[in-house]
Amino acid sequence: MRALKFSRKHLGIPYALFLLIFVILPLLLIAYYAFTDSNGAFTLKNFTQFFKSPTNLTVLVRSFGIAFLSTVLCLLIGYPVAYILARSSMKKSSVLLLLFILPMWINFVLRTAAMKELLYLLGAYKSGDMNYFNTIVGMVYDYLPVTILPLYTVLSKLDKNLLEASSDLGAKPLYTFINTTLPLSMPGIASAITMVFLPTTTSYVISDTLGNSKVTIIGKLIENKFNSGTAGSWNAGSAIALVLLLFIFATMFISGKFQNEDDSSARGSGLW
Amino acid sequence: MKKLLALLFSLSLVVSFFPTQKLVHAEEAVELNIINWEDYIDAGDEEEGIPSVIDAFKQYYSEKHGVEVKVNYSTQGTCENMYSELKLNPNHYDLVCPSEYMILKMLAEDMLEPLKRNEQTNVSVYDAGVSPYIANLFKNLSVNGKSLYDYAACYMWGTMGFVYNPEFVSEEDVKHWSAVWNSDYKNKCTIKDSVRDSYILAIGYVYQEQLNDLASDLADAKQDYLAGELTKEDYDQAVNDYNKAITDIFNNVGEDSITMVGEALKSLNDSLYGYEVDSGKKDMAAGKIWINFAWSGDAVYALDFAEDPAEVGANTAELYYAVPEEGSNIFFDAWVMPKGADVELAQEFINFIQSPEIALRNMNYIGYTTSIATDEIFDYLIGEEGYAYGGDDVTERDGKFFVEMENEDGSTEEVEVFAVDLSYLFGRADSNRAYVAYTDVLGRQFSAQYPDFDTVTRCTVMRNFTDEELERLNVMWADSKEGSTGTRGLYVAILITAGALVLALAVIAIEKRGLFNRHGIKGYTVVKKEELNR
Repeated sequence: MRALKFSRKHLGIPYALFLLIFVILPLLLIAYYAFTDSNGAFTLKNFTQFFKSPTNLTVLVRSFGIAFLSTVLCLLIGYPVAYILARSSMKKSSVLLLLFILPMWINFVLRTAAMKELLYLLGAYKSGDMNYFNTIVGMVYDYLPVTILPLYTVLSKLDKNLLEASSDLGAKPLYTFINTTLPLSMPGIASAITMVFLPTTTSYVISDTLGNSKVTIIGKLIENKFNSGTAGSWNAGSAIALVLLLFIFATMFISGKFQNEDDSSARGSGLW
Repeated sequence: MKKLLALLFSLSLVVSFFPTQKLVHAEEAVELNIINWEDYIDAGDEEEGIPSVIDAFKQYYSEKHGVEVKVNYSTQGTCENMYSELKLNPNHYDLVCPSEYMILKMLAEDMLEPLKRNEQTNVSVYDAGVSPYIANLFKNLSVNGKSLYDYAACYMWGTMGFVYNPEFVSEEDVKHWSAVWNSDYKNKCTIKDSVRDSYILAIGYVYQEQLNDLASDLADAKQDYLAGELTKEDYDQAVNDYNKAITDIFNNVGEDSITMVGEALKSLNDSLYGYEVDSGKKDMAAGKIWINFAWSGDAVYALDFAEDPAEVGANTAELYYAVPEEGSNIFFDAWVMPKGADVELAQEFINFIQSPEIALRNMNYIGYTTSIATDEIFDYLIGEEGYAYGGDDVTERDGKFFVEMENEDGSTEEVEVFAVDLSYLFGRADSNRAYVAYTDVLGRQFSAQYPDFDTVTRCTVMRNFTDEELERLNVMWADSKEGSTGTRGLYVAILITAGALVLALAVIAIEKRGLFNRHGIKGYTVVKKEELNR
């Protein structure tokens, strides 16, 4: 009998189990519900019904629109901050980083509610037609820390010799930044996009709170389906969840391709 | 041998750790599995040492039976979630507290145990206490020949209406559902983010002419009855017919109604402050909104909250509650026992929390109105500060109410008060304890909790819609919320993002070519890679 030998591979067992029970199994369940009706018989009705409704498609487009705007704004605001943090001295940067990450330690719902009060004080609810704007502000506010963190990690580990070499060869700082720093930080940008784009399509707590429920995004649509109380409500909701999942896979695939062209050997680039 | 001894020793240690005592105990203990609404039972007060109602029940049960009861109390946010929880865990729960329409659905699907009213196990405390009005109403609500009365013990009830701030909103306007469509209150109203509730409001608006005609017919009938030109029977008949007629209108989910409601709701999209299910109470108190479509229990909470300096500081506001004249919704949350429930234990719990004392505690905690209408409750209502003048002394003249008040010098004086005839609820038409009178104004907490008979008459029970009807309603609701043209904020956001993006990309594109980098360090020239290779 061969003795059961402990190898490094076995360290992965807990995570494999976790993956199986909490990731794979629920996904299979969602797929099962999506392709069946309330009696458990196979059907494609859930999908055809979703795509037949112009309202649903509007919501889908809107969700991706809001997610796109939020992601771009997060990157545009987050990148300079991460850059400054990575450049500044060690002691200062850790304190600064803490300040930027601090909001993440406060409860998400609480933060959103506080944001609403703030926007109210600033008069963003006076006219009643700024719901989209407020929603996007909330999304950017809530997901800025998750943008900064991966960017900061990549930028702070950047090889300084490359920058010096660039400068030695006569490149001005802006030229160095765009031709050296930016391409090398692509993996950070890619993971920041993943971490912002995905949740902003579905974070309906933000759109409900800050948009006074006037802005319906796809996450809300799924919730409404699940709570509608009709016999096939879970099936219809699962179908939307699956559609969303496919769209997100597609988006990530494209963003991965986009990044691979620039630098395929960089860390984390093989993620998508 | 040594090893064996050691083994025995360690075994004995292990065995001694087994809580044998407790195991026996656990076998005897009974379990009660409950699903209730969130914040729907008195949680007690730790500081003052008042146990929660659940703890009080545990103590009561163990004293009565000498057996510990374990209460697994869980909550859900919607009736639909309660339903799916029951479907997912059949034979697990003993007591659930959904609203009447969901109970009808459960009855139709044969999911419930009937209340046992025989001698050994019964709901005698509930039966003795429940308002005859509610008992009667429950007897008339039935599906497949099963009446609600036989299956459900009403816990709380309430109406829907407007919470409003009289500082900004005229009392006349909120007498009609059209207040929400009134451009004077643009961006100052909220409605419920749930189709079942907001449908009522929109029907009240869409069919306002018909509903107002029906209401004025009934008002005429009442005049005749008061003038003695109409018999009591005829008047009762008129009331019944009126309620039936408006019930049909409010429950009309035909194509035409749905289309009209959809249009009406769509037109609201721009002018509303927003849709909510919870935040409206505090938004009212904060003055962000002036009119909030609310459930009466939430209204009581909002009214209390807004006038409490401990909650809102110096900015207290006096809010009011009104049920529009076109008619509204009346709803009942009731305890039911799913199939497989421990009936005896469940009924013991029903009896316990429906005893007048506990019912009062729950009512004060929750804000909705208890179904219990006993002398104790009536005494509490007339004895409470604010409605301090007992029904005994109320005299009615020309629709106005007066009580004898004692002055400091001992002389008595007749003072006009606000009074409400609650004989319909407490079943005391014959006694002189029909009225609860109070010096506070009408339209406040008390009116919200204890509406008069006219108000209740114009409130209808919404029926349980079929899946097909619900689907139509949901589609209408989703479509109606898409009508918004208030997208200025979206344009602002797009402009900002696009501007910043274009700027950033332009800089990158220019710098890629090194246009700004022509003259770097003196003596060097930047050469393109391709040129270098050449």
